Amino acid sequence: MNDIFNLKRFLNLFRQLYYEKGKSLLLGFGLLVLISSFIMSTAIFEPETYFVFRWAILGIVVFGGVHLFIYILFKQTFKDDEKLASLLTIPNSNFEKWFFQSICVVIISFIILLLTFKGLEITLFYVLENYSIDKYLSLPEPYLPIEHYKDKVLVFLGFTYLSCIYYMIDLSQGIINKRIKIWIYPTIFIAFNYLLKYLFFKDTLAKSSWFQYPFTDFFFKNESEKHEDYLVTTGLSFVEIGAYILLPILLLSLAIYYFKLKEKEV
Amino acid sequence: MITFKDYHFYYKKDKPLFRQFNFELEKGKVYGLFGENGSGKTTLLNAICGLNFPKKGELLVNNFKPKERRPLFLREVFFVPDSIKLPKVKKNHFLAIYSVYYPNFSHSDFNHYLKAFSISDNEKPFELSFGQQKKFYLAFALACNTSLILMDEPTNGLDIPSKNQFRKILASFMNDEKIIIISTHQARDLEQVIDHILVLNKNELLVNQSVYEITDKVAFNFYSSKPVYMDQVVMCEETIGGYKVMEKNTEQVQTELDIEQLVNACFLVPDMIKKSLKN
Repeated sequence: MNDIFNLKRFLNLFRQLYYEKGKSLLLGFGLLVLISSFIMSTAIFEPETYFVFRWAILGIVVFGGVHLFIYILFKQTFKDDEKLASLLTIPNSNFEKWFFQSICVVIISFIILLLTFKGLEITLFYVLENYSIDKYLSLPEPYLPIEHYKDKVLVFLGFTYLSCIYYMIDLSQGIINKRIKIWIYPTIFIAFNYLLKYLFFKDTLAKSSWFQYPFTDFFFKNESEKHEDYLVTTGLSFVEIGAYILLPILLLSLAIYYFKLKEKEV
Repeated sequence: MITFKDYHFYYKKDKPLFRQFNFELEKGKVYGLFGENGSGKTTLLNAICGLNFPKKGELLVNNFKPKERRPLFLREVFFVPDSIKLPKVKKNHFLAIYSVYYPNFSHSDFNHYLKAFSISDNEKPFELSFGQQKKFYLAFALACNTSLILMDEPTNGLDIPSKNQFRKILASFMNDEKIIIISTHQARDLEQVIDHILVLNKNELLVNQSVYEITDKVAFNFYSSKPVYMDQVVMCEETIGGYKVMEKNTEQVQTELDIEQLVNACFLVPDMIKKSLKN
């Protein structure tokens, strides 16, 4: 067992990450927070604009941020043969190396995504309820049955994580020029799509449901009556997140990356 | 102990790099690995530490298959590559991260080697020059006290005093339980510490003999004029003021091994070398 997994050895990989890439990751995270904060601040002045920005955040900040995170994490590792040799000859088992990188890519990037949207949701509620957080806090735990929004959620998250895995493998093969394409095309597509919709249909935008991002299933009445009946959806329970998203992605990541690392040669 | 059994390796199937290698490398020796550019020196080092896998046959290092890259195997092997770029971490963080992997790592040895290389008081090794970074890494590699150390061009980038220090450190570092394999083109830098010669030439291991065995069979002499009788001469090179001659050691007088001339002869007259070094 010691040859496959040893906790002390495994935790040392995190120590290595902290010492070697801690500053870059903090910088990346800082940028993510900065851009998110800027976009969130628009909600205070123009909630309608904010709805459009919400999708921009989805495409650029979160999706791009996740990729930035992975890029910082793996850029050095797979940059050249020397770096790769260093990774492969460090006395951790293949399993430990794979598990560590899976945690970094799948779990941490998922947490970034989840936290960002939770932040957006709270901000939106806060603004629309005349800057009061009390009502948000008093809401029962909201949750939407997966059947209603399953497709949207799964398509988005599935695409995000598949691209993460693809991105990681891409880097591991030293092909990094393609990495931008993987997220910039859908981001531009989504952003343009919603920009056009906002420009031509902004009067009906607030009442329509198709632009809502599925995050939490609750309705609330806006007391200012300026914006009625917003539907803010969170989508999935933790069990569903685990069963429908995390587990398959983890297994997929395992299947692809573990064997790649094990078979990797210099 | 490193064992090659019917070992084959290639990058492209139609261009084999190593064909049917069958040999053993024993503990307690410093091996010098020589060969032309592209002859596969680095590839062989990579194979020994598990960075590439045999295409056919078997390779065993300390009874482990390197391709499995097990932690118990990796913690007893240290590979010093030709080109080194240290991670951007302070010295104490570098040690905190990497020394824990090696159970025999010695802080006092590490400090001793750093002092010998005159880089003991730098807290940010990644800011050092290439040569100094290399010395830092060499000091770390040796302080890990692994049973097998592989070095690819270790003296590249080292200044003259450091090369001297490196030789001294290597000499003091060796014991009967360790194997050091050094791949280099700078034969003169390490002539005094290498005690076994390996020469790769055209898909085969042309020379695999100790310095003693080689100098027992061939002599390296210098003559002011070209030898008249060439029967015993393996190779004769004109040089400043005379001729460097590698010849069969008929008089049974051991001369100092000239690695450069030996390796040169391996490329120019491989058949003669095979014949001369035959047991």
